[in-house]
Amino acid sequence: MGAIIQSDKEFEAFFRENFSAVYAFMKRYTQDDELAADLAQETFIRVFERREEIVSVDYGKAFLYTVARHLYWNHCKHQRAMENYFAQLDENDTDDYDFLQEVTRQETIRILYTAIDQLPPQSRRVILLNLEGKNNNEVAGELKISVNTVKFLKKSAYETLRGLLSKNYFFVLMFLLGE
Amino acid sequence: MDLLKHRLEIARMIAEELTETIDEKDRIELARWLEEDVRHRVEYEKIRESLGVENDAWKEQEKGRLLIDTRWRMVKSRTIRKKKRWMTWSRYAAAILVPLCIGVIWFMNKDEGREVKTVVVAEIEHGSAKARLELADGRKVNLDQETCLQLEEVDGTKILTTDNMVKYAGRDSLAACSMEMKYNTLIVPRGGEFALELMDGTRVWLNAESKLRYPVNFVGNERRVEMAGEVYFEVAKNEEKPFIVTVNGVDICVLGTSFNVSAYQERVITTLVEGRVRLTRGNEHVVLAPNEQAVWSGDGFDVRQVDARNYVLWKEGIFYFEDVDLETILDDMSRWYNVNIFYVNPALKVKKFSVEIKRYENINEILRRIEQTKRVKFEIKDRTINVYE
Repeated sequence: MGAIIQSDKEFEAFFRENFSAVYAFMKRYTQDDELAADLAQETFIRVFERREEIVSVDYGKAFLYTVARHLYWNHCKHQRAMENYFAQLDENDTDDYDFLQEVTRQETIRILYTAIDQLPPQSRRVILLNLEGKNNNEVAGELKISVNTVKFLKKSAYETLRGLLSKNYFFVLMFLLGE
Repeated sequence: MDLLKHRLEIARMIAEELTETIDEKDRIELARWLEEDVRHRVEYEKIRESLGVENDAWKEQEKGRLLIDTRWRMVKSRTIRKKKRWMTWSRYAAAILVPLCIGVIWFMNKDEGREVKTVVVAEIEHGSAKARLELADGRKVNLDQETCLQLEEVDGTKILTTDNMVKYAGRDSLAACSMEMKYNTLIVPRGGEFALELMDGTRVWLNAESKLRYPVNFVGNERRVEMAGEVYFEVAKNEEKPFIVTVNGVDICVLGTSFNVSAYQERVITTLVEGRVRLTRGNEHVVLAPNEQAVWSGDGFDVRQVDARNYVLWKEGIFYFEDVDLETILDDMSRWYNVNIFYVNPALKVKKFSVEIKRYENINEILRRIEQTKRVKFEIKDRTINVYE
């Protein structure tokens, strides 16, 4: 298997796809907007240095969050010399439940957000209210449209989402960015 | 990293399930994952709950998305550009100015960033009386120390909320009396606790991150409630109507007694203070006497002798741990002080400690006491506690 991030475009796509999730991950631990953005940025720079190793989209993401975790900790050690932190990247560390849970949460939200963002405005509102746990009647009431319209919008939204989610978003982005 | 890769797959499945675009194969796999561990179900519920408009993670990612373009420029200048810069340099010496400019712009950007940055160290507060009451008609009422309300259920039952307690007090007339069971739910968030007195006089204390669903009026020949998290019960005596607590598939059946149930994980830990309780799960069952504790851990009940008072001290405002692993202690802390725990070395989780402290004390106090053993160190960074050696 070859590396998936070979061109600059591919790296940009990888960055655009994952930055917000890594940022939110850092934000949860640091509680500081600016610091979270700095650390998230740094994460991508580190990953870039080792991009040849990324042989699949999944591996790339797992690698990304592992680096993020270490950068956070390094930061906490008050910028202690950054020597060897790649050497510490070992699998045992990632069994930390809280870490796994946070990655899962951020990834789920990232995927949902990215997909739902592609929908037309009215469908998007319907789906968002739906995700909040509201039923068709409640959604209709809130948006002041008929229940049938809600059903119709939902149906077409799900069709669009099915198309979006079945493809890997990384490749969709590659396409959108063009050559 | 396989574990992490699997989690990324799970995230995709949850997203697909929530948008009803999941295929059959994944649906089965997701169901299996949820079945595997109660923590998975809790996680899943949290993701669902957090999808409202108020949701933080959603908002945080939105903020992150606004930063993408500026941050991409910075990353580019330190990755792709760096590579290109060298090529340009070698070819046209005159172009030396370009990277210099980029450098200046980058430097300016960086400086600008630094100016804005003021690190606010959030004070970590202990928990307090907080809860949300969900009524039968879907109304949701937020409660805290100061809430003093009188509500009325659809069937006319009066509900009083005062002094950190929800209290059910009969109906004015029997006219509205129906045989249909209406349910209310009391939900206590992280950093909260709350008490409740049910229609039959049973008193209940809910610890942080816990939930109780109960009928407004107990109709029929049993009193059945459902719970999650940690709850202490003082059940009013009524021999004709047994009181049954359902938790993670375990039924705890009592006539009139006091006991504590802790079920934050898949395990259900029942500690009996007085009276008698009978626990059932499938074909397995066990009867407890006072000062006995039963632990259901997936395949059977283990019963041991304990000093039951120690397990209900939380409702008196005391944290009490005797030879308990660090993970259990810190999980409790994280729920009460609403903080995150970050283990630099996960092996520390299984080390055991004994400590007793007031719940309304500052979190530093308990951490300091544990640190005194010199076996572990803590560092508080905003709302995260880093645990290291």
